[in-house]
Amino acid sequence: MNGTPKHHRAERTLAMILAGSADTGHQITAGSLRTQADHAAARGNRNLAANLHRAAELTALSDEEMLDLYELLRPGRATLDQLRQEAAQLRLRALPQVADLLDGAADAYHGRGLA
Amino acid sequence: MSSPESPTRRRAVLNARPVYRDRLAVENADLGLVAMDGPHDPAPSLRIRDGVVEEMDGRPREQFDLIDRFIADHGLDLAVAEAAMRLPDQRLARMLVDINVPRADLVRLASGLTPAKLARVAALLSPVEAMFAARKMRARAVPSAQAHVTNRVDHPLLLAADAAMAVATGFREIETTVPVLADAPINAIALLVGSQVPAAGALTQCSVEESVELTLGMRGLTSYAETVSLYGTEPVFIDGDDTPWSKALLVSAYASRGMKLRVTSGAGSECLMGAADGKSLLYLEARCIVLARAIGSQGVQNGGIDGISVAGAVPGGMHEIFLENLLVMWLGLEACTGNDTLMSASDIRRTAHTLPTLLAGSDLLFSGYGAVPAYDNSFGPSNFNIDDLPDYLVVQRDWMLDAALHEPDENELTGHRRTAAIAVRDVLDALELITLDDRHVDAAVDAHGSQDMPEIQSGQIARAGRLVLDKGYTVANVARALSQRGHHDLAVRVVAMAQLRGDGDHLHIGALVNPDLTIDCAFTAPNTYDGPTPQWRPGRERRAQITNLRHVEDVTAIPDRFTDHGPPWTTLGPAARSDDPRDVVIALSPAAGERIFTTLSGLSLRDVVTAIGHELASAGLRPRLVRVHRSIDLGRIAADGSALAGSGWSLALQGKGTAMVHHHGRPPLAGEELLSVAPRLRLHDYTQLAANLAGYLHDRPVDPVLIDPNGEPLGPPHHLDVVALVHVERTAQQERPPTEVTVR
Repeated sequence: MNGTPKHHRAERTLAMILAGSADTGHQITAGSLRTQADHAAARGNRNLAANLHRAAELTALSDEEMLDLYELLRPGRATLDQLRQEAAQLRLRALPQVADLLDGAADAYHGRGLA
Repeated sequence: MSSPESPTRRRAVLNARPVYRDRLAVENADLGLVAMDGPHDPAPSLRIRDGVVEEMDGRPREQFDLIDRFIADHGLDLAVAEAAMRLPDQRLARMLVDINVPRADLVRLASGLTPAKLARVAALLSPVEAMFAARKMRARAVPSAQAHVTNRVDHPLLLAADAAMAVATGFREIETTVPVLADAPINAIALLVGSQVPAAGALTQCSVEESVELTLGMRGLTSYAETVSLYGTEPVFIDGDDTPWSKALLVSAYASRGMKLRVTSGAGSECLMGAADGKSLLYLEARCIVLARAIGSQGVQNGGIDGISVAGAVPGGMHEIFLENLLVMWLGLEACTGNDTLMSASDIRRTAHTLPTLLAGSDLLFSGYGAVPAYDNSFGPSNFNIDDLPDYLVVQRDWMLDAALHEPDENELTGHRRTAAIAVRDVLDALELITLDDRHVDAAVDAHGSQDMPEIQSGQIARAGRLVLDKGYTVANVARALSQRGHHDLAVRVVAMAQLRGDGDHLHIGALVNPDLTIDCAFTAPNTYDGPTPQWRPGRERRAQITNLRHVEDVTAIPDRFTDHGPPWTTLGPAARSDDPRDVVIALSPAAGERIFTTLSGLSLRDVVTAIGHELASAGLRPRLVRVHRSIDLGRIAADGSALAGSGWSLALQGKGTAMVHHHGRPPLAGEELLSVAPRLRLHDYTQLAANLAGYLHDRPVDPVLIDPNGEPLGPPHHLDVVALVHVERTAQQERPPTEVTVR
C-alpha cells in the first residue's frame, strides 16, 4: 500500500494523532453516505440506496440515541402512539426517512397486535 | 441367516463408518423438515392495485405477517414485478443457465419476484445447473473467503498471530468471537492489528452481542458485521426480540458508522425454533433473502450456518443449501456462502457439501473457514479448519480453480506471526491493559493452538476488555500505541483501515479492500462471466501460486534416490541359448543394475538378484543373469529370457522391482506368476518367487506369493517414482541382442 494516496493520508492522520488529536477520520459523514446512496441507486439497487439514506440521517444521532431508537423498534417496546410521536420528533430533527421507517413499523405492529 | 441382534461382519464394519454418527430424518412437512417444494408452500402470486401489493404468494394484504408486509412495501420493484411474475417458472430457470441472458437482466427480474416464485424456480435447477447459474450470477469477479480466528482462552497474542497467518494465506475478512463477552474488545484489537501485518486492507469483525459489537465498530476497532439475523417466519423473529423494522434500523445504524454489514439467515433456523409454519427450507429462506434486499443489506451470509445439520438431515438438503446461496446471487447481493459449520462426522460428506461452492465460486466461499484448530473455534468447528488447509490447497490445485487461498512461505509466515504477536503485546502494554512477557510471544509464534500457550491469569483479559470500554479507547489509541512502540508502518495501516470507513466505498455490494487499499466490489470489479474462455481461469501469477505447493517435486530429480548406488554390473558378452535343462535365466530390464540399483521398496537390486540366484541354485538349478536391451516391458523381457533358458523358464526383473516368472512359448504377458506391487515387495517375496519357479519347473504344487494386505493408496506415494524410473529404463533401451551380466 506504500505510496498510494490513501497511504499518504493515513500517514498525515497518524502524525496528527501523535500530536494529540483523537480523530482518525473513521467517522463517515452524511454527505459521503448520500454520495454512496446515489452510486447504489445509479447501479439499480434502490433498497441499498434507501438504507444508505437512512444511515446518512442517523449520523445526526449520538450512539446512545441510535441504540435507543433500535430498542424502541423491538417488538412490544413501544405503543402505537409512542412510535408515532418518535417519528414526528425525527421529522422535526430532519430524519424523514428514518421517520418513515418508524411510521411503517407503527402501522405494521399495530396490525399484528404488537403496538 | 443373521438376526438383527447379530449383524454380519460386513454390516458391523459398515456400521462403524463415521457417517452413521450423522442423523437423518424422514421428511416431515409439518415440522418444516422438507428441503424444497413443500406441500404447504404457497403457490406464487402477486396482485398490485394502485401501487400497493394487495396479495402476495396466496395471502391477501390484510393477512400479511410482518415479513410479508415489509417485503410487499419495500422489497419488490413493482415496475418489473407484474411482467416478471408472468414468466413461467421453467422459462426463468432456463434463463439462469442461458449464457446469452445477461446477469443484469436476471437481477432486475428477481427484484420483481416473490419468495414463492424464487423458491419454485430455483428448485427446478439440478445441482450442476445451479452451479453454472452461480458462476454466472455471483456479484464480484474473483472469489474470496472469510476466516474464523478465535481460541478457547481468547489469548490475544495467539489471535494476533493467527489473524496474520489467515491474511498471509489469502483470507480478506477475519471474524472472531469470544467465549467470554468481556474479552471482546481485546479480541477486536488483536485482530485489527494482527490482520494488517502481512498486507493492508483485510476487514475484521468481532461477532458478539449487538450493542457491544456496534460499540466496537463505532470505536473503529472492527470494520464489518454479520450478526444481524433474519428469519423466515414471524414467530421466530419475535422470539428473537426483533422485527424486520428493528433489523432495518440496525442495518442503517451500522452503515451510519461506516461499517460494512451483511445479514445472516440460512435454512433450518425456523425448524430449530419450532416455528417453521410447515414450510420448506428453501421457501422460508427465499423469504429471508427477499427481506434482506428489502431492508437494504448489501449481502447475505447463508447456506445453513447454524441450521446446516437440519438441512443435512433431509433428502436434497445440500442441494437446497446451494440453491439458497444461489438465490442471494440472483438477487444481486453479496453471497457469503456458509460452509462454516462442521456438518458431518464424515470427511467424505463434509467435503461433498463444500466442493460445489468451490467449483462454482462465490463472493466469499466460506463465511468462516476455521483458520485455527477445530478445538479452538469459538463458533464451533467449521466445515474446513486449519488442519485441512494442506488438503484444501491440493484440491484447489487439482481443479486449477481460484478457491481464494494460497500457501504462504514458511519463513515469511513465522515473521508475520512474530510481528503480529509483538505488536499486540506492545499495544496492550502501552495502553496499560495487560502485560505479557516474551514467553507468550514465542509461544504464539510457535503454537498450533491455545493448548500450546502459557496461561494468562483468569479474568485478566476480561478486566482489560472492560478497561478498553471504560476508558473510551478507539482505533486512535491503538494507532498511537503502535507508533510509540516503533510499529510505525503498522500504525499507518491501522489508521488507513479506519479512514476507509470514513469514505464508505466499502459499503457497496461484495466490497473487499485490496492490499493497496483500493476496493473491489460488484460495481468496481463485477462478475462479467460470459461463457467458456481462458480469460475466466486463474491468470499466470495466480496459477503459479495455486500450483507451487511446498511438496511439489521435480520428477527429473527423483531417480537419484534409485541410481546412486552404482557402478554398473559387469557385462560378460552376448547371451546365447542354453541346452542345459537346469539353466534358468534371470532376465533384467535395460537399466536394472546398469543405472537403477534400488527398487521402489528400497531394496538393493544386488541383494534381490543374489537372493533369487541362491534360491534357484539351492533347488538344483543354474541361474544365469541376462540383460534384455530391446524392451522395458516386463512380459517381453521375460519372454526373451525364457527363450534363451535351457529349462525354458525365466524370472524377469525390472529396475523398479516388478518381477515375473515366465515359461517359453507362452505369450509375453501370460507369466506364470507376477509380483506387480513393487513398492510393497520384501526380499523374502523374491526368494519365494524363485522357489515357486523351481516348483513350476518340477510340476510341484506351489503357493503363489501373497503380498501383505494393506489398504493404503499405492499410486499417490509411488507413481512419480514409477514415471521417473520408467523414463530411466526408456533411455537405457537399445535395439541389440541380450547380454550376459554378472553382479560381481
